[in-house]
Amino acid sequence: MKTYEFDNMNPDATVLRGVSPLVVEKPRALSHVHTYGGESKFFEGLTHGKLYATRCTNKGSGCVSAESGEMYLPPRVYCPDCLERMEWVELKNPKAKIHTHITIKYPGAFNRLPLPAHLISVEIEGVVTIMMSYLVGAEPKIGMEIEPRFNTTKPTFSILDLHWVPKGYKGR
Amino acid sequence: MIRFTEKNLRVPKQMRPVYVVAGGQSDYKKHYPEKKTEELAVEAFKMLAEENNLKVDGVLGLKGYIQSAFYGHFADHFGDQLLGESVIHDRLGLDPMPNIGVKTGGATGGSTVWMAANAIASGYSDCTLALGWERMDEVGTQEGNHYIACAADKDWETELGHIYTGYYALMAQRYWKVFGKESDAFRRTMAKISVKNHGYACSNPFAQAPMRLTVEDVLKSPIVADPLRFLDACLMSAGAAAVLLCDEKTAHELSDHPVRLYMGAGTHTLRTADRRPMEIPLLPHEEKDEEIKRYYKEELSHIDRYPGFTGFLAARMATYFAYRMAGIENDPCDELDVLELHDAFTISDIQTYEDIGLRPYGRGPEYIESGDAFLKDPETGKRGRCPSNLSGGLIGNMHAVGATGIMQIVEVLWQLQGKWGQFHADPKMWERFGKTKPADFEDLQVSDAKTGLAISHAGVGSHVTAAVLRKED
Ligand SMILES: [Zn+2]
Repeated sequence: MKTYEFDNMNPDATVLRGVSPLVVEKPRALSHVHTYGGESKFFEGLTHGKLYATRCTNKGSGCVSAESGEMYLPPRVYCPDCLERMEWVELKNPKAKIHTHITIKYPGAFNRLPLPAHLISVEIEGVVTIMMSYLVGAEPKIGMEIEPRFNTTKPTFSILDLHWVPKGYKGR
Repeated sequence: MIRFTEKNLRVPKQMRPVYVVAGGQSDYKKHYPEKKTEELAVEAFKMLAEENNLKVDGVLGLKGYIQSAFYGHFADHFGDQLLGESVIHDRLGLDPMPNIGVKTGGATGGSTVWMAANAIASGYSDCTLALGWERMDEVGTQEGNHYIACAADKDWETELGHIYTGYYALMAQRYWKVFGKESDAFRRTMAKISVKNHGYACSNPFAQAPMRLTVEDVLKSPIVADPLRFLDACLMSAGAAAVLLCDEKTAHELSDHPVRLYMGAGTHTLRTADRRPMEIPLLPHEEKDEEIKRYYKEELSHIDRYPGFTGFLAARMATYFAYRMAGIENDPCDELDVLELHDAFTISDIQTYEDIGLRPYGRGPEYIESGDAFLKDPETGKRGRCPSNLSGGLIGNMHAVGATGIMQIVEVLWQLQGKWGQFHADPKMWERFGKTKPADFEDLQVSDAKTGLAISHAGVGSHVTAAVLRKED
């Protein structure tokens, strides 16, 4: 295919892929400034080795979440039932196990997980939700007991700063 | 919400009957550089206007009836165009009649028809167009997977691999372990769905992936995310589909064979993480069945939490409403003659059989193994009770996301109208798409089909619509 010089700001930016039908490639690099807002406490917590959940304290209001006292992880700023502000609770030494799991070998663009990656859904005692995360240090199994690890040295300020290892595992 | 009131569960009402009158489609391809999206949309609309035996003078005659348009397009970033609805509306020449875009991920097509149906039911319009499209061929596979993964929660899921198949497979793996017991028999049942749907695609001139396969072919295809293999997964497509909806008077003015439409919808949390346990909302036939109620209460509740990762509550709610609207009170396999289901993956197809009541929860594979799912059971040669995805579905025919739910309704419409052959058997239809009608072509018209169902499904179950179509006596 003939190479064309394009008279624009970045002459390498447009690539002719084919003619009749005409197909051109338009590469682009963009940046997005992301806001964590009221969930900042959770993501900042990970970088300090802390795992935070939330719970509703609006007892006596008819709120199901407040009555059950169960925690939410992913945490929520507002209770999904009564929409009152939830209370942050640090989960120390959470009792957790694998609810389900899957191994990823071919991720999508922008992946930062080391491959192959073991995605897991995590059941935690006292937590009504089953959060998604990843496992390091073993092949996952449903029911496997696990404990959290945190990326405190070179944080990504994302959910990747939390991962799980088998209970009693010595490594990172 | 896990506690319902009677008001929450009130059976939705159409203030006047809604009819599906005509349908049209482009063909579907993975790569379609020779046509722009707008061209595919125009082709679907022209088929709708010109080839459905409408009692009007072609496109110009039909345009004289259309008062509003509903457009389904899943992904602005795939299209690289915001307000694509306006582009399509202009190319169809329908300005300045009002249009609106509808977006609910994989269920976009179904939701678009749902909104259009409500416009008829309310009396806002007497005749409205629902048209959907997608093209996913302008980015590479990795970018495409990232784009699709953007339909997961960006902070809590997308970062974990940027691959939607993985999030889906987490649910599949749970079902596979808890209800499938990781058995070879269950794995083979999954494979049979791929064999069935790729096989039915062989008699569909619109279809992207006609294939004559064996169970072994599916089991030997590359692993995507265990237990899902390449041939367990749906296609990525470019294409468009359209339906015309009308009130009773206009429907009969335009067509001798309009079909009644009832639509229900449901949703569930985008993050599977957030699916809190609850009691199973019962479908009408389950409510009357003491044995199923006992099984759910005494056995199933000890096996896994509901809906957990194994049931799609959105699909359950969509049929909870749609069956009651349409008066489907008995075993849906007895009441429904033809189905188009959202077979994103073989295993999610099985999960859906349970949500929509083809089998009780935990027993979905029986719908395949009994032969009910086939027009003709390949093992016994017997006619199945309610065959599904005779178009080839998302696995064999197409998944041009915004068009998918509309394609399903078009296929069910043509089945109920007895027009399946008109659009699939004519050698000219094959030639139109540069194909030759195959020697092993099968007649897939369901004889005496009276009632059909189309299920449109998003994400890992974030939105589902259920469309019940019924032929008039
Ligand atoms: Zn509350």
